[in-house]
Amino acid sequence: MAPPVFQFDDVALGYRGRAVVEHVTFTVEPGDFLGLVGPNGAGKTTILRGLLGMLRPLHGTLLRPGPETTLGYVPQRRQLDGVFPLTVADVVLMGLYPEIGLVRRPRPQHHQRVAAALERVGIAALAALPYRDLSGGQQQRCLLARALVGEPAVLVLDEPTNDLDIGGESEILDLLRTVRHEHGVTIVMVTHLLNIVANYADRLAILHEGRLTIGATESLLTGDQLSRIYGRRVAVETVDGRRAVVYHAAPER
Amino acid sequence: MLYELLHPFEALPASYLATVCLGLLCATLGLFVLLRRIVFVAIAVSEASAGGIAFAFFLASVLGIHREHGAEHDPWFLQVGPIALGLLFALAGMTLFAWRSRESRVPSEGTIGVGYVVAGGLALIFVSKSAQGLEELHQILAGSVVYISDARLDLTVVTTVLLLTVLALFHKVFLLCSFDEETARTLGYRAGHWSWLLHLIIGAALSVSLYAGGLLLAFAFLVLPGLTGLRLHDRWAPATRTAIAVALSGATLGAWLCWEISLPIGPAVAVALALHYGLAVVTGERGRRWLPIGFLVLAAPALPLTALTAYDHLAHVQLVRAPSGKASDGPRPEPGARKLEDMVRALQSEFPAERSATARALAARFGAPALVHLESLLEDLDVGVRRTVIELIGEIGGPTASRALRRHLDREQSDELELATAHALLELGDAFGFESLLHILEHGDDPFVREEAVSILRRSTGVELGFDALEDPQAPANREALDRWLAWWEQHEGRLKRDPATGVYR
Repeated sequence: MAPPVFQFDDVALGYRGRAVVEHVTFTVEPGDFLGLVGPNGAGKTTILRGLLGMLRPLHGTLLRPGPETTLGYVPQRRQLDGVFPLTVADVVLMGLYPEIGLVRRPRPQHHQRVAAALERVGIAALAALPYRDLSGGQQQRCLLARALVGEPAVLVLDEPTNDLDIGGESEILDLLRTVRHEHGVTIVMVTHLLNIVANYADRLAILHEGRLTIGATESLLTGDQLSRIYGRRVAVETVDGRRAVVYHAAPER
Repeated sequence: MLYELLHPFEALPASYLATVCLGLLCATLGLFVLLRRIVFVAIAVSEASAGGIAFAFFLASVLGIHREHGAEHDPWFLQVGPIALGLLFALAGMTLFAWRSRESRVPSEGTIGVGYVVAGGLALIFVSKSAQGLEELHQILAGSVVYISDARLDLTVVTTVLLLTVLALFHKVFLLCSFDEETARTLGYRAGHWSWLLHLIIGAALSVSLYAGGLLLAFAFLVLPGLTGLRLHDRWAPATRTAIAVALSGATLGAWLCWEISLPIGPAVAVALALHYGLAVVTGERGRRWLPIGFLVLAAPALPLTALTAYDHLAHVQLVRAPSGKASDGPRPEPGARKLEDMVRALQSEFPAERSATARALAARFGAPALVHLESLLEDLDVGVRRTVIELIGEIGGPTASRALRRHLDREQSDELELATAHALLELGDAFGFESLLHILEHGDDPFVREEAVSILRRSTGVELGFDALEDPQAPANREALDRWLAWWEQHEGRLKRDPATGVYR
């Protein structure tokens, strides 16, 4: 059996010695699609930084994949400054910088791989356009292409559907599902909206008021479970075979 | 026609070469500064660098190291200390700002403001407590690449080549870390270290640019070419190319304006660069098509001109070998001897501005050997030209300069220029200037000139013997005051020595 891609064992993560999240224990197995869900400020980004190796644990053991495992990362689109004069192809090419080398120029095969990655996410025609001129959904696809161009075994996405309309959301998530099925990529997706991952992730990690609840989507995505986690009445409805999480206005007493 | 066009570059090779180097370096780095939104950080770091330079002069005063008037070279500490400490302070400032920018509790602009105020204040305090450095600090703020020394030019060229090489080699990773630091980390780059290295490069470039060309020139090159490139292009490489073209074109146009209409080079280059940016703004979308090509065409003459001026400089410092492949064994030729004739001819120009600019170039290029030609300009009919030459002779210094200024005192008709000459003499350590100041008090027609003369007298002697410059010199109170000054002069004449630390004669 292949070892887990990520393993958190009683991990505490935080900044300047102060823990933001504590007692985090979970694993991500090869081929998993894990949705890390929680409201803004719950500590999702802190766990994400731990996953990416940007934060060292204050406590506990955190095992990450070695350098032989390629990791693709899709940051929050809003973190990137649109003032940079970069085309879509320039941005995607950045995903190949480690292969190209520090001081070498990209070779034709690198450009071919960029074109293929753009083709894969459906925006090949936009390669020469400035990144800043794209719509939110197109920018997200561009960042996904950059993460995929290095043919990663693990893909980590930070709020990839933020500020997208319903069409944009489903396009990105369908794309992720395709990538996962075709290439067996392990996916960890961070989002603050449970509905976004309800129909795509195999497993959910729900972060609420400092507690992390992890389980298979099927078992966690029930009205009872979610009501217990969130401390308010939550129902899970099925519409056209797709699950939708509904929060009720009055808190449960 | 061609001669007329090329004349400024032939006459000011060192300053043109330095301007081109600063343009190349700052324009390339400017794109990173603009895109990382750290223009204000760069301004604060420049103040830190100025603080370092001022601190070096303060240290020199504390250690008793002083510049000798007329000496061929400054003491070693004064040659190396200011740039070394300026660089050190700039790098420390950049490191501090790079570190502080991660702290989110206070706005980063606040920290930058604190850095700017503290560094600027310390610079002025250090200079006020040292006997020298005021001129350097003034040059840093106003910019005076025209007077660049060989040592500063060498430093500028070497720094430019070194830093541009590092930038060219690692521009991909600098760009990635600037655009998306988190992704850079996931790709295996130590993004924090790369960003810090880029900050250090910017700090080093700023420090050298300030020392060589001054604040205005450095920031004009840092901001305007990059902005023009970003306005005209959506891609990194063309934006960089256009920024470099604008910098070269601006440097060439600025140097030409400096010579032709006797403008200070820093503002001249800044205006030239602003014209390029203005064109990019005014022409809008249409300009995006043809302006980049236009700028490349305008920049093209800079390449042969830079090559020529570089050759001139290298020949001047004797690095270029003789055609045989061996270093020339003969006596070292007079620096730039083939240019001296042309410049002396230009001193006869019908335009006062050209005569002034030529005088400046002569003084910057040849120093003391130019005195004989400069002295001839002391008889110029134009007051502005005479004033420039008096200042230049004072800056060159030495006994020959002192004698030339003394001779000029007998001939000068303008009270204002007599005062300037007397002041220059006193700055040179020649107490003969006092006699002239007293002459101005007694016979000067302009009360403001008399007031300045009294002020210089008080400052240079540390003595207060009265005299109301705004009143009639023949008024009884002023006559008495004048008698006291004359008695003081009679008592001290021939025995006064200037204290180099305080500038006061005792």
